Amino acid sequence: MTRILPHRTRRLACRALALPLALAAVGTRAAGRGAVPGAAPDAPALERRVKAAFLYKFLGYAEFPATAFSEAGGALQIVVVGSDDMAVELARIAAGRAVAGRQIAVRQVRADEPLPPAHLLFVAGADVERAARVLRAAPGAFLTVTECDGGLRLGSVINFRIIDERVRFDVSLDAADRKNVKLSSRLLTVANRVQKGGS
Amino acid sequence: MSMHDTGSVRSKLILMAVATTIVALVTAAVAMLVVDARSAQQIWVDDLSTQADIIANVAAPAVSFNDSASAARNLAVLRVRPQIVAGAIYTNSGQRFATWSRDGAAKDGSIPLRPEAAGHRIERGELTVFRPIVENGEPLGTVYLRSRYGLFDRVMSYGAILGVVMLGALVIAALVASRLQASITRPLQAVTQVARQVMLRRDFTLRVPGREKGEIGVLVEAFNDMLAEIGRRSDALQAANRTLEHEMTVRERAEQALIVADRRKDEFLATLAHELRNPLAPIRTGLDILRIRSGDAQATQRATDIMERQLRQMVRLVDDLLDVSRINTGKFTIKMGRVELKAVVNDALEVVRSYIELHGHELVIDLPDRPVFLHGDATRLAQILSNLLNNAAKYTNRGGRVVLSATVEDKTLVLEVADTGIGLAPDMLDSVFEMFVQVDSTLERVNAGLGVGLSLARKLVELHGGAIQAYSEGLGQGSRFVVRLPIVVDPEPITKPTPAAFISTESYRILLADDNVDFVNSIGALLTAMGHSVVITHNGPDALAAAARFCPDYAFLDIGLPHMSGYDLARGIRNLPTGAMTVLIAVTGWGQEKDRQLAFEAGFDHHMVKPVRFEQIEEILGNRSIIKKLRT
Repeated sequence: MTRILPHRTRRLACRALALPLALAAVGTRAAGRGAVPGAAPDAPALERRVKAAFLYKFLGYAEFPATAFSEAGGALQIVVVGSDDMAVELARIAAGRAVAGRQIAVRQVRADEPLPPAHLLFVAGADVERAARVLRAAPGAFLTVTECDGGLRLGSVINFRIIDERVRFDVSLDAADRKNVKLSSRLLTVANRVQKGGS
Repeated sequence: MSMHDTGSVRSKLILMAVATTIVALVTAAVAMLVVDARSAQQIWVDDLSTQADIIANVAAPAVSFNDSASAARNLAVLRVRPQIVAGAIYTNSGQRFATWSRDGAAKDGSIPLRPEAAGHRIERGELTVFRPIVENGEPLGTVYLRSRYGLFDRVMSYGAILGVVMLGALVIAALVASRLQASITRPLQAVTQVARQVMLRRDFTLRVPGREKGEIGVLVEAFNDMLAEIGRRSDALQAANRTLEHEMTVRERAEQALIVADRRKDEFLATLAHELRNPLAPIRTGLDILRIRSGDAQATQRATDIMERQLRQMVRLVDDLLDVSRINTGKFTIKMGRVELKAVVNDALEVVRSYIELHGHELVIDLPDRPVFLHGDATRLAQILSNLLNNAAKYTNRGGRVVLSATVEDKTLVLEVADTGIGLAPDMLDSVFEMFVQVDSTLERVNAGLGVGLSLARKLVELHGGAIQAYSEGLGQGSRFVVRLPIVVDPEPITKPTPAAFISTESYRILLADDNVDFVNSIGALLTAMGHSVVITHNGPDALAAAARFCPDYAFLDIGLPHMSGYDLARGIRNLPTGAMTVLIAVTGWGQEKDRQLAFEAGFDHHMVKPVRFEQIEEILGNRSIIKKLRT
């Protein structure tokens, strides 16, 4: 088990964290497809990639209502708001892959652009205001993911957090219910916090 | 049969059943153990693989989302499976992601650092399984599980259970066998017991009870049949033995009787010789007297008397012997007729009176007054009495007393001859009547007899339908002989002619032919003296010539003549013109019936056995008229 030592610098920690996370995310690909061997990526980039991998994996643990697809076998729409890197990374991960037999389509949208319908909507950035505004603007989005403090209160289903220098996430089941998205209990077992009811 | 006999059928049967059960059980147990061990291994591998798959499934999100704590919690669930000792999860890149071991983190060294290919491995009593973690079609990592591989323990416990079961089964098998074998061993035991009893008691009537079926039944039946057969043969053998013993006894008795008879015969021969020799001495003395003192008429007379008495005794003796012989060979015939008692007594006394007087005995006669008629042969009846009287005289010391008495009891005449003689021992009372038996062989010779007289007397009495019995108070007390004869009550129709007409008024021509010159000359002299004309010849041809010339009324012919046998001579005389009128008398030394027959066939009218007493000749001469009557 890789132990995280609290007195280490964030950089080192991130660096140490980077390789396993990357490997865990895209293990089946040729080693270090997203990671250049011998040149350690900087921490923010690593975090992007980890979160991108998580986003991709969330799809496997979520069940969307039948009305979510205009046609049977239609692709899963991933919309990334406010992060080109993330969109690129996601597109790279999802390329050629399918979840539950569905192709994955990744679109990158700026914050002021109108939002297309999305099965998974990721709002990047710690800006709470912006996140709240985007979420309000996208009532049709099913699985909404944010990475700002109190994201769940804004109505997002999953909110990324950094705990002990590691990427974790909180889940709001109420929000999922509202969005009519069923989240696998197996996902919940690895969630940092599962918000349910008034809590 | 002992219950603890290891060789017994019972123990063998039980042993067989138990041994069969053991073999079957051991075979089944070994097979079950092998099958169980194989299937158990497969089950354990499958079980542990499944366990690993479950862990893989559960831990997949943890691996996906890089949550090693969650993965460790997932692994910790394994503690509910006691046989699993350690587990680990590896990431796809081969790094150890989470570990768990039953006895804490100290044993981390036992968990491999790198995963291996999916599969299972058994080593050092432990089962190791590697399973891939696959989520959404993508391999995420590997699960490692290690558990104790307790196959040996399992086999041991399984074997222990089997052993207990086998032990129980054996006990049950032994019980069942001991119950079932009874149907075989009980009849066998019965057979054995009976066989032993038969050997001990030799009792072949014993039988094995019970009716069994099958081979045992056949065995029991055959055994019983064999016993019966042996019993039968044994009985037959015993019966044969008894018969043999009986025959043996009979033979021994017969042999004894033969020995006794032989001894008696020897004694008889000795006595006979003596008896025949006895009268010869006085006769010789008489002859000497006659030769020396031929002039002394008184001496001559006394000598002649002595000689005549002795001769008569001898003749009487030989007559008795001949009679006994005839009776024994069944050729003795008696001429039955009506006989008066007094005549019989007179005849008897005539014979024995001189002998009794010679011994100086007093003779007392007591007869009934009225005439008593008997049915029998006068001569033989007289012979009975004379024998008894003679016997009484002989066995009574000189000067004794002989009593002849007769009484009539109903239709029986009881004749009793009593004496004051030496008497009889009680055990001799019956045997005294047997042939050649004498009262006492130690008696002085003069008293010894042939033992023929009484035997002949009894036989004659029996021929007359009577009985004779001897009585005596003991030795020296005298003896009594009682004869019982049946009486004929009817009066005699005609008067019987006197058998011995002594007085002869007629004179006859008589031819005598005998080569014994002395005998014929003496007889001839007597006949001549009586007034008859006599011609004497000494051989056959002379006799025949004399007969032709002389025309005799009587011809006394010796059978053993020189030159011509008496039979031929008789036939020759009969062929003469006057031959038919001649009365032919055969005089022979052979008194057998066969000789008589031959004589009568040759033409003889009478048959006389030597020595011939003169009275016999006189008697024949007296019957002349009767013969004449018969012939014409």
